[in-house]
Amino acid sequence: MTFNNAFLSLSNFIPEIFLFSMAMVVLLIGITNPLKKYVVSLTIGSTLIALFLCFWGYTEETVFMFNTSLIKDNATEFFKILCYGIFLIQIIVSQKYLKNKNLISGEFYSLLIFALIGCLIIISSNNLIVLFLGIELSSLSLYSLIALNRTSLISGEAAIKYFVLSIIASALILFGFSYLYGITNSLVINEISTYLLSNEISNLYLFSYILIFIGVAFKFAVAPFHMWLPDVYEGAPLPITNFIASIPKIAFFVFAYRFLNDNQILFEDNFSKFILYLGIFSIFIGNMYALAQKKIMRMLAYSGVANSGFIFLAIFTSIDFNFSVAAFYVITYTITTVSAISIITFISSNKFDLVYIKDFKGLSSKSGLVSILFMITLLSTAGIPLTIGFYAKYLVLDALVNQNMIIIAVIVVLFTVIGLYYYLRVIWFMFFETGFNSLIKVNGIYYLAVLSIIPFSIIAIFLFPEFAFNYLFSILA
Amino acid sequence: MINNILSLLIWLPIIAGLFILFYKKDDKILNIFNISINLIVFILSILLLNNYDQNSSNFQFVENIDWIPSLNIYYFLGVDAISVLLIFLNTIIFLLVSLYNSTLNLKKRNQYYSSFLLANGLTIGVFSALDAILFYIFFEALLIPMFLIIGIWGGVNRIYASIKFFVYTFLGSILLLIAFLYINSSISSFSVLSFYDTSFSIVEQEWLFIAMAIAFAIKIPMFPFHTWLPDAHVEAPTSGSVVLAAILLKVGAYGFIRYVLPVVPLGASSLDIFFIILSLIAIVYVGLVAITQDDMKKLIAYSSISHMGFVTLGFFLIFKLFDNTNTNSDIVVSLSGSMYQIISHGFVSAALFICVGSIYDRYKTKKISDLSGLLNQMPVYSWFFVFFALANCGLPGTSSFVGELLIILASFKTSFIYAFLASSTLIISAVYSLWLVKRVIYGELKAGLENSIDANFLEKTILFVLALIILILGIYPDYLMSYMNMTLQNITNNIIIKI
Repeated sequence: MTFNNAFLSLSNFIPEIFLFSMAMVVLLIGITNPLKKYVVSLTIGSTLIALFLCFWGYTEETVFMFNTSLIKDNATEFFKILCYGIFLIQIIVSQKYLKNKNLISGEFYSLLIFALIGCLIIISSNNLIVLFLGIELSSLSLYSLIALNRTSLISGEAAIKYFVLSIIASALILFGFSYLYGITNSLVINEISTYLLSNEISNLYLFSYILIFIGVAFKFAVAPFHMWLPDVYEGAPLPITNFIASIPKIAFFVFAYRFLNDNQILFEDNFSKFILYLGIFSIFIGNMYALAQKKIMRMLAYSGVANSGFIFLAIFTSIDFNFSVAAFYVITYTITTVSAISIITFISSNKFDLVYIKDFKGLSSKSGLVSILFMITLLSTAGIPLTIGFYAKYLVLDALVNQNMIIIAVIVVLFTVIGLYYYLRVIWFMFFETGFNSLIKVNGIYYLAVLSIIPFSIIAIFLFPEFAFNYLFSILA
Repeated sequence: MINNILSLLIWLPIIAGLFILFYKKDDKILNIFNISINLIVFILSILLLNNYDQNSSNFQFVENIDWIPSLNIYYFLGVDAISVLLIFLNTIIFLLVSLYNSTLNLKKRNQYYSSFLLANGLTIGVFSALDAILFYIFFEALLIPMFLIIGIWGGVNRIYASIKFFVYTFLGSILLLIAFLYINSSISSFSVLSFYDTSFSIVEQEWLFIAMAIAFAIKIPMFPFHTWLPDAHVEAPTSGSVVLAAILLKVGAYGFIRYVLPVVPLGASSLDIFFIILSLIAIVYVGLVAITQDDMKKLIAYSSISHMGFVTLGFFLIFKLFDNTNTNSDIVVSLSGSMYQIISHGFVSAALFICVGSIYDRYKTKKISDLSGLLNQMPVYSWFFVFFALANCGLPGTSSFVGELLIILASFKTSFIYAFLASSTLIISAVYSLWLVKRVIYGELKAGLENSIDANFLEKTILFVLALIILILGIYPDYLMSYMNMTLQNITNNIIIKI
């Protein structure tokens, strides 16, 4: 590796390096008393700068960095920018909540940035070792972030659960990696994927892929590997839940995309059935359990399980290595979830937390705007037209029908109808009932403006989706 | 403007509806704005009605814009006579409803008006979309304002009713989506015109028919799928009931004539016996159920289901008719009977629900057993009530008579049993309508009902307009018949060609 090459690699990695050093600065500032109050604005500012740098360094062509351990192409850049954007919305919305919970500190924000960097590394890695480092960086930061609310018992429980299960998932992934390395004699994901072009699929190769995708299923919380999700959603501070629900999912989608793109194993019957059954089972479990939930976060968690099932179905239907359907689903699901949890965070930014679904009753008379935003978000998650959630479900169904799997499409659709009920229940509490807790204040034009970004784009993209489809198609082609 | 009149009709009320959300004050300006938007839409629909060339069987006022070409979805609008008439029905009902709404005492008035304006635009979208997915989107989005209308402004049990309404309809329509996707996967188009040009194998047609027919049967609603309707009607506010009965049920009927019969006629003809039987059950059994109701809204709801049974009977008789007589003209008669019934029922049921709503506004009760002898208290109002009740039971001279007569005539040509059962409605509907009148309007005045005010000017206007339309349609049916004739012949040809 020449100096020139290394320098070029570094220059393509500027946003992450910058963010990393800013995380250190945030950590340092956090312990000095007079400067402590600048922690939040510094985090927001440095994320903005990193976002800008990411735009600035945007190039059309594919660049390999650090001797092919990292990759930078259209897809990575797009997903990174998406992560930055989501991250910005999350930290802006959560300020008041964290202040009330007394959680604002240097370590909180620096750990959050580390978790983000971990996910960014997963997105851009092209090497098994670097990929694993990325997974661990984000996971380790998240374990401690969940447990950061030291006085809360459920936070501790959630952290332990997440820690144990996530470690198992990482171990399975690593186990799979080791087999892959043994079979293909390579650590580079590109080469591992194209290995099958010149070789037969061996059982061992299949086995290692199944191990890796069980790990991915853990991270996506696909049933039956979803047990940690409801507890984490319930136990973690809301901004952390918001993070866990969104950015790692994008990262692990790119992970799955890298491992399956140009890889014939996607059409290997055993593997594709494995993905399919996980998907259907997850849709079943998610929707059924969500029906029975009384707490809003647990309901969202199970709805997340169902949606992850849809993501797996979308991956299953990606014929011709066209992952744009799955990508569209992931993006739709993440931004709607971020919107939902951000709104809950915003409403909980007082002395009272919104825990139960019935706590939403009468929200519309308190603030029409917030309840309409939340309604749009929920309808999008349910897949009702006038929101992009409709296209997300539509594309998956379309792909299933195109491959003549109509029975599966019908089954999936019936569960969606069942699932509709629990989204409608929240809407009914918001609009049809009265008596919102009068001590909760929902105002602040600054927050409301940020909260409206996602619901507004949900409807805007619904009206003019062609651009989004073409763009996704071009970056993932 | 006349070229883009459909887009204008769809988007004007929708945009106005969104705009009105930001006007928080409850005052005259809000009312005037709401009424004038509905009036403009109504005038536009008259323009549409006038400029439509009834001698051509093609779709007119066509707009075809690339929307999502990568998924074969186009913003494809166009109307034939059926759509024009239903759009006209839609706009006039919404105009009358907006007048009626301005007399009410409401909470969150701007949101109420907004929901109705949205429903208005979306329904016009349903009737004018020629792209299956565009149709589906309007069809599905229409649920949201109706859900909110029932849920926010409804009665005691509104939550149960609104959720049942939403989930039930969604269940049907999502099967419809899969049927559309399947058609698209084999012909790569969602355009209705290319649907008409394709014929599928009989097995495919049967499955497609089942998926689509369930969706529309829930919406119409047909007999075993009807249970959401009485609940929704009872709990909905008066204007919600009016829209539900006069417009939303017609969406299901429109779906049958636009998407089911001409697209999968083989499937329909091989399964039509079930649908004929279900229609007859709806006519006879649901009619009998209506007699026993004590809640006036429930009574009218069941009578609606019974009348919609006629519509579906007219639709599904055509295959038997074709087998027996082998001529197109009988099919056209049967279909025009159904269409006439659709339009007539739109006006009659709207009028009846407004009547019941006025009683409810005065006495806060919908129970027949609580009411008696209103005649002396409210003579004008009672006159209208009796008139609409008579129209509901199909008195000659009113519009309902024409549709029922045509369908009974058509059923005579297929089988005596069908005709016998279908014409039993003339008695059954007379029983529930007239008995309702007898108990509510005539008899001794009940204590506590004294000193009520007769219909006010606005109510008189609304009821008068509706009565006038019902009479005109009943005395001079030929205008509507000749208006629809070319379109129905065209649809008939589309069906015959594939059998």
